[in-house]
Amino acid sequence: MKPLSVFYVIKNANLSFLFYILILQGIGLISLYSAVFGDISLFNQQLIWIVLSWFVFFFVYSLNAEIISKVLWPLFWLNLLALIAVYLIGKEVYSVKRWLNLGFFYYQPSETLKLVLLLITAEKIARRPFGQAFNFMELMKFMVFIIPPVVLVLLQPDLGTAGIILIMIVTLILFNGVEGKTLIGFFIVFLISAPLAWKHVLKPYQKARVTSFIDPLNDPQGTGYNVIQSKIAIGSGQLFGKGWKQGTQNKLQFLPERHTDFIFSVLSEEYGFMGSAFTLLLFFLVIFFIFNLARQTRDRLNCYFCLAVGSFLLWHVVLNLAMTMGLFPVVGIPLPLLSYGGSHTVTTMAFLGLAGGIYKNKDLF
Amino acid sequence: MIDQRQEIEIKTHTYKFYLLISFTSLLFVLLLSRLGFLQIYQGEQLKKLSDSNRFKKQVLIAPRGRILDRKERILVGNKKVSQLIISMSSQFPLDDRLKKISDIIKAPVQTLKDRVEISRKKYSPFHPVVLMENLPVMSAHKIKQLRWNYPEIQVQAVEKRVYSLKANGSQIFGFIGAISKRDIQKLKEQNRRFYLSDVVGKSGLEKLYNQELKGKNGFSMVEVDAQNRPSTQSLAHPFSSFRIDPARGEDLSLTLDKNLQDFTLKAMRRKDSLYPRTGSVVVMKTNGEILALLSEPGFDPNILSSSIDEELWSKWSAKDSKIFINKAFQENYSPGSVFKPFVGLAGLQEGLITEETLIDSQAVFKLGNRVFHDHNRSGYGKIDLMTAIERSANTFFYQLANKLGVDKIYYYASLFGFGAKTQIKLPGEIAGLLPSPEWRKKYFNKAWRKGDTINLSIGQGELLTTLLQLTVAYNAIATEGLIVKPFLLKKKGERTINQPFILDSLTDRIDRKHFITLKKALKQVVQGEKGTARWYKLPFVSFSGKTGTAQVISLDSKSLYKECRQLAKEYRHHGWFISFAPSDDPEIVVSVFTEHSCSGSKGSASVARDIIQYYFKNKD
Repeated sequence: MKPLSVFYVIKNANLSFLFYILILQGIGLISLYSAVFGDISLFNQQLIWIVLSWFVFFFVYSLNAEIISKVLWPLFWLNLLALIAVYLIGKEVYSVKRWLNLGFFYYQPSETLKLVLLLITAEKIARRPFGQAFNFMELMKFMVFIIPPVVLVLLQPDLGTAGIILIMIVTLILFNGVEGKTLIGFFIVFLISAPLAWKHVLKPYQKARVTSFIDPLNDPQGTGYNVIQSKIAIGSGQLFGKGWKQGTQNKLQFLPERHTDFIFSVLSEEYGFMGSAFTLLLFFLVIFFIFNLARQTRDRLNCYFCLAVGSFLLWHVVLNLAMTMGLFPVVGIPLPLLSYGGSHTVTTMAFLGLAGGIYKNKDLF
Repeated sequence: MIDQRQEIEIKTHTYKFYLLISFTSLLFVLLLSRLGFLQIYQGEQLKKLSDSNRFKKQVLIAPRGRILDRKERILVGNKKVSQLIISMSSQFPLDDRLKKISDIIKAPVQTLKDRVEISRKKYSPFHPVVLMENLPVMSAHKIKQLRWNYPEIQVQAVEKRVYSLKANGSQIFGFIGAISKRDIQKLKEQNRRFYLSDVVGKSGLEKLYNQELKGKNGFSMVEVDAQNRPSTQSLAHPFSSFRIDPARGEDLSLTLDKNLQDFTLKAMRRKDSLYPRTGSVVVMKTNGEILALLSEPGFDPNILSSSIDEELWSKWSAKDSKIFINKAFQENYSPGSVFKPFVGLAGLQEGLITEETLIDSQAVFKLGNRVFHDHNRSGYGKIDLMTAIERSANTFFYQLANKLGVDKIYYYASLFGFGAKTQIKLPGEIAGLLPSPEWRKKYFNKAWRKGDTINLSIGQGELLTTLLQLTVAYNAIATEGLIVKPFLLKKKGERTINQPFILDSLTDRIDRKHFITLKKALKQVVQGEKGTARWYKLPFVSFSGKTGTAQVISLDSKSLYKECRQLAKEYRHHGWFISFAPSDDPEIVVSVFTEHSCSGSKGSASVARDIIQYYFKNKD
């Protein structure tokens, strides 16, 4: 392994890839500054997290896939422990327990869980012989380590995170291929269990989010409020936007969760279609770069790690934007590189560091 | 080296990647189109929605027009006060807010809760509640500091209606109140624009001239944040300074004289054995201008236009309180002896008597087997009309009426406006009742008997009159034949609305000399040796008038002679005194009606005397 040095990084990394990330983070910070206006401390905190996340990026960047695959299981157990701790002694905000007080910051284990579970799945798939579709029993074996942490996330309760973890994992499994009859079987089980889950598992507020997604005007001051205000914010930006710090939906606090899940609405309101389409393009380029990288790798482990990173970015970006634009129910899914939040920022950059590292090494295999 | 197996693997692999990237592209195209749909296709519309989010139209209520007296002195005006208001919503705990407020304004929480309850009953549950009127400056300042955390608590500068004469004249001015469900329905029927925050006149002039008084509300656009707080950092927008100033309502100038109006109440409250008098007073210039119009007791509209406690309200709205009724023209009573001059006038005009004709007037008058009494138990002997009026001799008029017959009396009485409205432009005037055989037949299917004519001649029986009617009728005597239309409103803003208006001139039907005879007789009532109001002469002005007592219940002969003051209060006679001054060249008519005062002389003439005295002393 070669020593980590600035020179080495610049020489080996695809500059445009790093550039996209930096621009996206820049857009995020500018929007965040506008979104938090009075409260500059949130902006400063995020700035620190971004700087820290670059250290994480380069740390992961310097590792190779084989080394990473060896620490995955210890990390899994640590993460599981943290989730149990959240369940027992977590910090409660709006009757939701998601955070652990680590003294200097609040750690959200469900964010790092995304990294750990996705990479474990990727590794397990990569270790299988090529071209072998999953059968029912193999999938059941997967369930053994996926279900317990996901259930803990569901108990927080955090339907959004639990859901997106499953979606990301399913993407990897489907990419590998699943036996036709097993696929049909799961589909039937889903069809039967969904109404049951609706009736017995989902909490009233979660159901309200889904119904308000279907008809937001049904309760414009309640659950539908977020979606309506977000759509108004985005749409009122029109072609060129209202300008930095001039977003009225943002400034006058009509927009909820401005600095976290709805940061894209702030951006869209202030920079209009031009700004938001540009951001969309950058995300597409990053995701395309990663999937293309996955195609180019000759090693299955690197390939699936890359796919995991791509799947992470793809689903977070797509579902978050769909949510802000009223195409998907409001579930707490942050926008990578833009949303405020330490655990999420670090997790994202760890993922991207992994992709960067693979790019660096792609010609070695 | 790539073997065959690897080749297949790579091919499949590549195929899957194309699929993955196509799928990714598809999702992004979808997001991009959605973005375009919202920002470009729906952009205009959503921009409007974002503006309507932040701009709230704030109504600027127009100051209500004032009501002024004949010398532009303020009868009803406005005063700027700070009101403490709480917007009602289910989204915050009310008790907590009331506790905060009660700490600042030092009022018990229970009082505030009561106010909320009363308001909720009166209006919709989400109507803002006025917790305190007249907020002191220091408290207002403290409350304003609460605003950032509790935007529902507000201090509002409002114009409060001030009725400077308080209860005096309250039935004329009326009162105002928040728009009620019934008002809204009416306004909708009339296709009128209104705001829920509007204040409307509920009775009297406030109601009659509400359109003129209310003016035109303005409005301004205020930028607010999601919690409805005015934004501190105003964002540039043409609306930010959008404002239409309210147009003040028109002032009404009345014919009333504020000082005289004020004095009529003082006169009614003269401290003698009849204190406190209740009833009504009209002071009218001979051209029909009302100088004072009192109905006592009244209500204080200042209390009504803020919030009234339930105890007082139930007292006010009790059936027998009648404080909202103007007894001068919304209530009628038997006129008693004040009706006699008109019977006398009929006799003169019909030639049945002359000024000199003497009629033997004893203590009783017998008609068939019916006996009609006089209040004077020893009789008068042979007397003329002058004396009959001076001493109010019943038996004189019994005999005269008996000769005249009911139709003649009816004819002459109706010439003077009995049984008809005076047409004063105030709501709720009633016409009284001038009975006739036809009327009796139609409504009761009973024949008119001769005895009924006898009763009618002294203003008893079915005859009912209002004080204002009598004022107009006596004014016709004073002016020798002119029936005027009484009026109260002179000017609306700068426009003159009412000018003296003569409805009828009776000189073509009644000889002028008969009026002069009557005027002489009426002068004797006050100025004569045996006049029924002889105790109330004034040294510097001579005035004329006629007393009257109206029985509240029909009494048998025994109780007729019973001292009135010994009866239970509600059975005592009402007292009338209708007068004009100066006797020879009348300027004003002063009519006084006192309820259950037993006498037209002590009860009412004393009051009229004081008013006439005040008028001529303060005349400029």
